[in-house]
Amino acid sequence: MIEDNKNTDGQLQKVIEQPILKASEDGLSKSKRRRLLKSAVAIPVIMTLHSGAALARTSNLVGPHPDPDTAAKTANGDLICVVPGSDSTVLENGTVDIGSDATAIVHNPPSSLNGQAAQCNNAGGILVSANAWNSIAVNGNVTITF
Amino acid sequence: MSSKVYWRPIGFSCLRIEEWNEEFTLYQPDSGKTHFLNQMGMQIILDLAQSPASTDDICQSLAAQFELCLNQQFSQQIISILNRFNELGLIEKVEKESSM
Repeated sequence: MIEDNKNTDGQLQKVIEQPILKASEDGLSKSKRRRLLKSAVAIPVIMTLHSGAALARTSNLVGPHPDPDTAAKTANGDLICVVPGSDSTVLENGTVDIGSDATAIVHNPPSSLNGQAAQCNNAGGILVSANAWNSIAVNGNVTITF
Repeated sequence: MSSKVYWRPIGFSCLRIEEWNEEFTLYQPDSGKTHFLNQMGMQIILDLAQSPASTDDICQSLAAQFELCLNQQFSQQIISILNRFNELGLIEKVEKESSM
């Protein structure tokens, strides 16, 4: 019995020691990881964070959607004409960065969809897909002027 | 006389550099980008700010400073990072005439 108790005590001691060892190993591996990261000094490292402005710009990019039938419309079924702002740019691939002061117009009085598309074109605006409109409207960049 | 390609920093004086326990953040106002560099990455920029240097010079200097073996693999890593710095507009290549 005494020996059994000794064994039990020994096992208990092991059980107690193990978490302590594990904890110190965790600490060790953390410091090892840190040292490893530091020792990555053996090779030069650069990581780049892009500017917030550049990220904002990507949320302002839309592709013109020439088909009036499937372009973004209001609940009344009138075409939403997005007029790029003064700082807008057309990228090489035809995508438009609508800039910071873009507007959206619903032409009044409404005519046929083709007529509205022509009015939009005359106003320097572009038709966009419903998805693109949702994106720029959700971002709060453009609100519709009726 | 022959020409040799050197690297030199671009707009070094405009960079905002902060050290964070042997690691560095470097804000580049021209691009609006913030770069994170480790010690060796930063050392390259600092060395070039002191004087333009060729790729070979940079490799030799870094190997000596960081007590590393100067082999082809190491040189390739340095060439890669120099090209990356170049793409980011942190450094540029210049040709200088040198006497043989």
